[in-house]
Amino acid sequence: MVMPTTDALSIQNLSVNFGNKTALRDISLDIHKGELLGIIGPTTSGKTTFLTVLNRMIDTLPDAKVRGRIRMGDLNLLATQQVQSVRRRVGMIFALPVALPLTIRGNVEYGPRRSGVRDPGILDVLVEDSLKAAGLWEEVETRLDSPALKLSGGQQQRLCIARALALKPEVLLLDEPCSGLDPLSTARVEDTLIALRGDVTIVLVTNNPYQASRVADRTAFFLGGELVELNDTKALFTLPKDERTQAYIEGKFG
Amino acid sequence: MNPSVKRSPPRGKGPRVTLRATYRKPWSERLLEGGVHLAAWLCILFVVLILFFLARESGGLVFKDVFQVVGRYWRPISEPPQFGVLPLLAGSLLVTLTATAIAVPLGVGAAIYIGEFAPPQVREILKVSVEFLAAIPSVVIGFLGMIVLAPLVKSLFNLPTGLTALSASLMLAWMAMPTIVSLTEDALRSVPDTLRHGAYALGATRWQTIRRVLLPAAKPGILAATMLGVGRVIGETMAVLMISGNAARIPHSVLEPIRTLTATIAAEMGETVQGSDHYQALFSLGLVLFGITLVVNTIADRLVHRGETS
Ligand SMILES: Nc1ncnc2c1ncn2[C@@H]1O[C@H](COP(=O)(O)OP(=O)(O)O)[C@@H](O)[C@H]1O
Ligand SMILES: [Mg+2]
Repeated sequence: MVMPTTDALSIQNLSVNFGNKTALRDISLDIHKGELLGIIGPTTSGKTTFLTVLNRMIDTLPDAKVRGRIRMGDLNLLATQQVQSVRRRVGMIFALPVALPLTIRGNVEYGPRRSGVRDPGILDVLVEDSLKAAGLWEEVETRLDSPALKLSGGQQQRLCIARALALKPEVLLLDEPCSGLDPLSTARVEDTLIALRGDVTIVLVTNNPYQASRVADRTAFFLGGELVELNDTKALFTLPKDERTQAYIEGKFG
Repeated sequence: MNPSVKRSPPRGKGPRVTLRATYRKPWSERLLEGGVHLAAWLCILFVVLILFFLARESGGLVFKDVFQVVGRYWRPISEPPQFGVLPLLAGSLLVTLTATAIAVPLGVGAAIYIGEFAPPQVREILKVSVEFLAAIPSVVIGFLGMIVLAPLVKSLFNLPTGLTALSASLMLAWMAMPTIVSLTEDALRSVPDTLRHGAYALGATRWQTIRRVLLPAAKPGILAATMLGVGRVIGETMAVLMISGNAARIPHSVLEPIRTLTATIAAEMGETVQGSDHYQALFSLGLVLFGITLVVNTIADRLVHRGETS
């Protein structure tokens, strides 16, 4: 395992409410630079909410109330007005791949173009690099200008990863990225994530603890909006400290 | 196709034969099926009938020398009469294009505001107003045009008369707007939120998302909305008759009076003798309109369809 030197994100006392419903309660954790952090937990445990806070997608939900502090380098992430810039630095991939109604190339270029990159040469390089990093290049190299919606689900999900990578993000958030994919496509996405780890900090929310045990450096267990346990993946799965963690992974594995 | 082939049981395929034998469509189902079949065929029949009667009443005048599609003068009661369609065609074309150019940007813009920006209460108020606007009879809009809009255009551009192509176009744009607004809004609404979020997550602003993601995704719907709006503009008669100035001359600008195909038919039909050249000429205009509608619809269909598949 890589020993990180600094933290990509440092989260202190983060709480989120929707009306009078608490979705996250007093979460504090540091996400190391370059690590692949897995997050497991049953549905409604707050995993998605946690990710949406990290790139300010939570701003699109009008009744969400966020408290706490998140530091990204020198940036006070929850206070900044530069929401678009936060979202470029912290990319997000959703459970259902959503290719934009553009060509394959258009999807990958979308982010860079919106942030002002116009030079065709630079864009071409970005497209190729990002698709290669997402492990999709060989499959689409010859049809970059055909509609992205014609790709299979697994390919679209890797396209979404490429699209996010084209912005050269520091952090990549993935919310159950394989829940709609078949085992083969899942394996390809996992390979992609493993290859990316180190260069990009990855937070992978998964409803499948197996997946976390396969790919994550550290794993966090969320339950009812609380962070129950965070440890090296191997330790968490073999010797969970909290009995709720144990119950969850036994229930899932048994 | 020979129906007996379809009905005879395929030999050597036991199970399928039994299935056919045991399943009988219930009566109500057969009745309904027959009903919708009939309705569908009636639609086609009506179109064919309209074409047939138009052709019959026009008495083949379309093919005679007096009736000239590219003729420059429409003088039905001079001696000899001249039936040149060009001024009417130009009038129709001018108001249709001008009205479309006004109505589409305004309508799509209003739909974007209603669908993407307006707070919920404002949205409801706007939607109800738009629907109300759609329900106003065109004659009433024509009145408004005559007493409010025409004098305004007259004084604004310092013209001898306010009854011009521009006034008619503004009226028509107003009438086409509700259709365009509500259908475009539906199209935008049907774009899934996942797409919006996908674009936001890539750091796109609201406007960037609308321009590059929502509008392209809603394009087939917006095109359909536009074409239906244009359809209303082409077919509208009364308001145009009241406010366009009624001059069958080839216009050189939108500030001149014009006359459209539809207005000509409506205005002159009462004065003709059945079977006369004038009568036949008006039906020939009907044929021309029919042709135009056919072409516009075909193009619209192609456009909408292409948008859907790509
Ligand atoms: N937009 C929202 N409005 C209201 N409540 C929400 C919203 N999003 C999430 N919640 C609530 O927050 C809690 C955590 O949800 P979520 O973060 O989606 O959990 P998970 O991703 O682990 O399934 C749930 O109780 C859910 O009902
Ligand atoms: Mg979730």
